[in-house]
Amino acid sequence: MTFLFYFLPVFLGFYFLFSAVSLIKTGKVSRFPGNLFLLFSSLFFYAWGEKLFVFVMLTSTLIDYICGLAISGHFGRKWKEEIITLEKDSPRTSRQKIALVVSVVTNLSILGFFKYFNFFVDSFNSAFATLRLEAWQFHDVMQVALPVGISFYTFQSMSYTIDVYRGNTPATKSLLDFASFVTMFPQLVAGPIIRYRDVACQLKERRVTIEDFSCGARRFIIGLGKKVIVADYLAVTVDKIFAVPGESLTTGLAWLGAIGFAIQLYFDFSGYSDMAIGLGRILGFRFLENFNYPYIARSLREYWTRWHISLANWFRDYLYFPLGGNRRPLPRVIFNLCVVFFLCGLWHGPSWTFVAWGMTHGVFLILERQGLEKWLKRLWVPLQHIYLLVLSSCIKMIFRSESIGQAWDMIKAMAGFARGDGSVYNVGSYLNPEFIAVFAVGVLGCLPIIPALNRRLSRWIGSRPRSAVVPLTTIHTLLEFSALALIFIWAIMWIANGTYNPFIYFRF
Amino acid sequence: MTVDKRQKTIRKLFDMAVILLFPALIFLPLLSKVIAIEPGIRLREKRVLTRRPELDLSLSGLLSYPDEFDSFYKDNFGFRSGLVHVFSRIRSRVPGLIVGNNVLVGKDGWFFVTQNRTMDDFRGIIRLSPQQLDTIKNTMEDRKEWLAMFGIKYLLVIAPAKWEIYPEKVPGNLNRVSERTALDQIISFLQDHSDIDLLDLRRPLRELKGLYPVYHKVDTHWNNVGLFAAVQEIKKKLSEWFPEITWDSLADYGIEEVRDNSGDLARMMGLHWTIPRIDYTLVGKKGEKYAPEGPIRGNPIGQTMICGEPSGSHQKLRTVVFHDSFGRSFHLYMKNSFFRSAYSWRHIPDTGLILRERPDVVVQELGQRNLSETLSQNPAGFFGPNSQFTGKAAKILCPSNGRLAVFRAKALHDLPVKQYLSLHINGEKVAEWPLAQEQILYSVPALVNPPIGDLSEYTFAYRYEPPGRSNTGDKSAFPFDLRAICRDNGSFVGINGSELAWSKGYNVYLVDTEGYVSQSRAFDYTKSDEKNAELTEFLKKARDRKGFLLLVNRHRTDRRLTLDAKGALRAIGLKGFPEDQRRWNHIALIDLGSKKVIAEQAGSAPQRLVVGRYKMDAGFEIRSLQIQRKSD
Repeated sequence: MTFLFYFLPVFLGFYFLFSAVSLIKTGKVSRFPGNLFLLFSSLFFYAWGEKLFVFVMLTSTLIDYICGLAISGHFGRKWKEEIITLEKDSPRTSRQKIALVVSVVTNLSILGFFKYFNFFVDSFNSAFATLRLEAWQFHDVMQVALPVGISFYTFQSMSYTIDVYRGNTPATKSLLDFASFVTMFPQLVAGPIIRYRDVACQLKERRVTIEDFSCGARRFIIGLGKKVIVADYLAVTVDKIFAVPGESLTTGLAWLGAIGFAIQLYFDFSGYSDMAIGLGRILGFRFLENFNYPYIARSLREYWTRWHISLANWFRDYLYFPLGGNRRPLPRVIFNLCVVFFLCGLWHGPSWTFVAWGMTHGVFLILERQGLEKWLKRLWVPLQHIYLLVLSSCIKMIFRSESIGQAWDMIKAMAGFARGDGSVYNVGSYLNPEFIAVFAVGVLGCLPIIPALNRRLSRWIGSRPRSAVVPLTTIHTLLEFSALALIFIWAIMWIANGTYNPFIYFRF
Repeated sequence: MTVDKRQKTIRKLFDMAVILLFPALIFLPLLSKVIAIEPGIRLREKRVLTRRPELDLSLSGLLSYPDEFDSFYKDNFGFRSGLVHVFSRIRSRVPGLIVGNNVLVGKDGWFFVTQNRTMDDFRGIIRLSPQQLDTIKNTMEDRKEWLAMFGIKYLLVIAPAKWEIYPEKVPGNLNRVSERTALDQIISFLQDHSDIDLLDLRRPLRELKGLYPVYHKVDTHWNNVGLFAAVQEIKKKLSEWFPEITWDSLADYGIEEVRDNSGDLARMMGLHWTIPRIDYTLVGKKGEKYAPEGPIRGNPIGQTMICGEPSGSHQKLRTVVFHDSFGRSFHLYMKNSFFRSAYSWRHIPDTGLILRERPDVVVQELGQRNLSETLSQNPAGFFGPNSQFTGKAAKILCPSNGRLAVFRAKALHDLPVKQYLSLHINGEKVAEWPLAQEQILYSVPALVNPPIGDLSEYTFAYRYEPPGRSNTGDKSAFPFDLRAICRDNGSFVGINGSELAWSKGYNVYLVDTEGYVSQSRAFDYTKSDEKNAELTEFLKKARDRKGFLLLVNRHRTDRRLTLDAKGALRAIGLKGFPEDQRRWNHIALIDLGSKKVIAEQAGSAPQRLVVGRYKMDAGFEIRSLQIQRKSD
């Protein structure tokens, strides 16, 4: 609320006011005051929500900045000297190696401590309890609060030092640029994970055109709509279905919950990414895409090239490949995949259900690699889609459930072994016209239908007689604009509605 | 211009339009705080919206500021009212949706509440456990027995939920698994296992709905017609015990439509200014009118209203009615059947009120919501005549060397009855002590024979003597000390132990000759002619009453106090009211007979208003009265 209707308008107003001079002169936003204002705004934004944890982020930023310089060997040279990208194949000095280790260890320690400390303590305690070694348990352990976005910014700033070390990008001398990159508020909370090398040029200066702004604003509106109108709405019903006791589930209900959750998760996450990418575009940044219609994939391997792409790429480039990737003998590849997906699961949250979720992905990827995918390719195409959709829905049950037992109940019910008779909890009682409409929009939005239709419409308009093209284009554009305005206003209304809380007597 | 160029221009215009749309929509709520561009829709949520926090530059102040500001901005961003309003208005047309604050849209413009699992009860999926049913039965039996000890009858009345009477208006997606609701389970259990008198109003109201509308479409409650019918059913039932009670028929009345904006469901959707609540005034053959009561002001919970003692009345009956929001207007149609009747808004009976009023019958009305909770608790003091105590009222502190024991005991509740604690050894009463209200230590020396040894053989018994009925018009003095406490948070608790009000604004209470608040109004600080008129109206009605008027003005700053209380008081001829009334924490007590200020107190905390003996103009005397601030 405060973000959308206070922080964002004030920020955008000043951002473009400060950059007005350079925008008019060159059409570009420059480092000063653009990045400076961006940095301060981002820090303000983060401190507003996370208070003193802003210093954790600053510490991580500062260490990686220094490590970056150390790796590039810039210390000891003249400051003005230009930093060049390290040669890819040349050996690294021990100093460079130490700097890299310092950076990686610091980031992983910060992440490990804030995100996983309590999880590991609890896990040890329950393990000791099982082994009847209660005396070894930890007691009165402090409760560590989880700073928002820590998984994203530690990964971002780690990718910088690793890339400098590998010679993919030069280190930066400008702390301002680097800090702006790590703390940038549009993607700070929920990704995507940006890599320094992708935005290095844009940090120096970036072009903002009318098209960029318009495109970014549209992207933001669509993201907001995805999140507020679809994801948050479906979440209410999905939560209710997941609260149904296992013995009362019906097959239909389990599937409604599964599909509903698949749509909710995709719209929630990709909605956030859209908003971040859109805001970035408004500011002049072009972030890489994070989702590419994952539900149209035909195998789990393909799915991971379309789902949370920035995370998948991060794990691929900084963990899977260094471990040897798939160029090693089979047992080693299996081991690599297991490690990657164990950590990927853990990255999503400190809980064994996430680990189980990650590991299930790992197992199926190994199976696909061992011939399942080849076999699938020979099947009728719709069957390939069904394979992916059913598999990913089942695996998502593990992601969503409170416990493995609950996930198992849901999966059993989906497979037709439901124990409920549907008298109390049934699909009908969750359906109303609005839910059906939102659900339908959700299903449509998971498929690349609307952009395809839009393209086809443009092409069709282009093929009309010349006299009809302009009026038809006008109508098409007006429709597009109305749809956008409608989505935006409807989303804002949902947000406003959430703040309404009258006091009523009948409760007594 | 070529077609291509034109297409590009259109695209450019589109981009410009988006560039205008996006900032416009995110800027407007902020801009409306600077310049007045917002249409004047007010939601009136009946709560104080969060105020803008003040920035405190200490570390803890800085750390807590963002959250405080967030909750302030959530309540106060521009166009909030309009957005909520339009959004609810659109969605309230589609049956099956949940709109606003948990309102279910029904068919044909009917709305239902979904909180407290009400729609689960409609679907028949609430199953009360045998233990829950047993608790209800025991609670009701205890209540009935306790009242019977004083010769008082007890009638339990359940006000049906709207969906019980209009199930066909519930949207079709909610299937009914069974038509057996929680109420059905309670009724059949009580019928099989006890002799509690329970009045089920569903059948008569269902029969009536073909002829008249009996419930509101945009409110959870019955309308004036439903209320009238319910009271007549109560009277019918009471006439089995008291043949002198008569009842009326709706056929003797005509109905006139009236509209107001107080539908609670409409308010929960933010639509009370758009969807009016339609109610009916009953018009008798002689032209007498029974208009529905207007919206609720202030916090009515715990308040008591006393009606009656009409001169020359041949009625002798008295009643005490405990009710919830369904029964707030019972007095309209009940008071004429009784010599004196008291109406108290509470779920659990107030023993003090019962013992003071000593009615012939206690009627308890409860809505069909959370019955398993509201029917499972008795107030302290509802014990059978010879209840044994195990550590509840008596506690052995120090059994020593077989010669001395010390007992600590406390009289139960605030009962105006004599209470006794007795000691029994091997089933034989060996000593009995009268209990005072406060804690008392009893030392029992060796007079107990045989000497105290193994304490497990000892039991304590508690009993009280029902008082004689002593209320035949003796109004020479308040029977109790009057006490009221103002809390630091601005709430105001208690006259004679009842919760009064929680409003942070200006509160006016009318206290009757027996020390009970019979009416009250609460006003917040926003200026409005409507409110001033209402205050004057209230005071005018109070002018001819006996008793006194208590004014409590609670606020932290005087900036926003614009309600013209002083003017209103002057307008009805009250003398000597303080000139400077803008001070905060102002309390004043006004004798309605002499129209004079008995006592007043103003200024910052702590404070205390004490009145010693005071002869009221109405002929009775206040023995003592104190109002004091109390920290929360």
